[in-house]
Amino acid sequence: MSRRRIGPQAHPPRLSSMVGREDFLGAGHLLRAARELTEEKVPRVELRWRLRTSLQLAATSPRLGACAAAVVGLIAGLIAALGDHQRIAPELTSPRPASRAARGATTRPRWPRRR
Amino acid sequence: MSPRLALVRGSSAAHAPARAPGNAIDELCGPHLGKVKRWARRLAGPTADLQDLVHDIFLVALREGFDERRSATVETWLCGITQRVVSARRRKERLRRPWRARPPEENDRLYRALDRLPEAERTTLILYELEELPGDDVARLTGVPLPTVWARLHRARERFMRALERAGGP
Repeated sequence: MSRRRIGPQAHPPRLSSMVGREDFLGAGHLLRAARELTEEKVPRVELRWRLRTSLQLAATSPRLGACAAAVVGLIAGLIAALGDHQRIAPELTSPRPASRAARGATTRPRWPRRR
Repeated sequence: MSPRLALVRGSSAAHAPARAPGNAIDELCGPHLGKVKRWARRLAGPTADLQDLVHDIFLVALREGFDERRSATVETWLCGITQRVVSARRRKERLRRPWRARPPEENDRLYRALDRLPEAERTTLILYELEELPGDDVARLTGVPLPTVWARLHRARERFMRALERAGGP
């Protein structure tokens, strides 16, 4: 004989109502024991303060982000400017040799070749 | 402005919490703190930091704002947020658990068995068995039809009993 499978039932009796032999796994006992909640206090004033601070922080964080981006931009600009300055500076101290044409006056005259 | 309107999405309190968050916080926490506290404790188990959880739940609620098109009542909306926040916290805890040692709690056996259930079934079982809510309320709070609640409860009980059996008798 095949075992009949019991499907979902509307408004089933609660597990915590199981007692004695019926509750051989102790589910009823566990649920009954866990049902009683000790009154835990969540201080309202502290919660209000924490929520207010978190909300304010969330509201100011975009401004903080903008400030951070501005500072990073400024530093990057400074570094770029310094780099440019260093690239220009060597030219000022040691100029490249002038081209041959520019040195025209100083070129040595050529003697005609001997035959 | 009615107390409910301040929480509605699109109203000034929901969109500019930094300017006048006090009213919105009071309107939300005042009437609902007790229930949120209970749901959070039940769903998260005895070891969770309740103050942190409650803070996170209300913070999400204040940022999102109540949307009448998505949730029927403020209570349903808050219960949904509680489920999401607790679920996220449990996922995080699961990753940390191997490195965290703590003394065994009285309800450990129960919550270890409950932790073996899928999220939706776990929530249904907790609301029905621990909170002792009627099926209609469980359906309303979880946002599913009543037959789905009975189906989930049925599966949850089977898995729960199997988990207890595997863990050993009383």
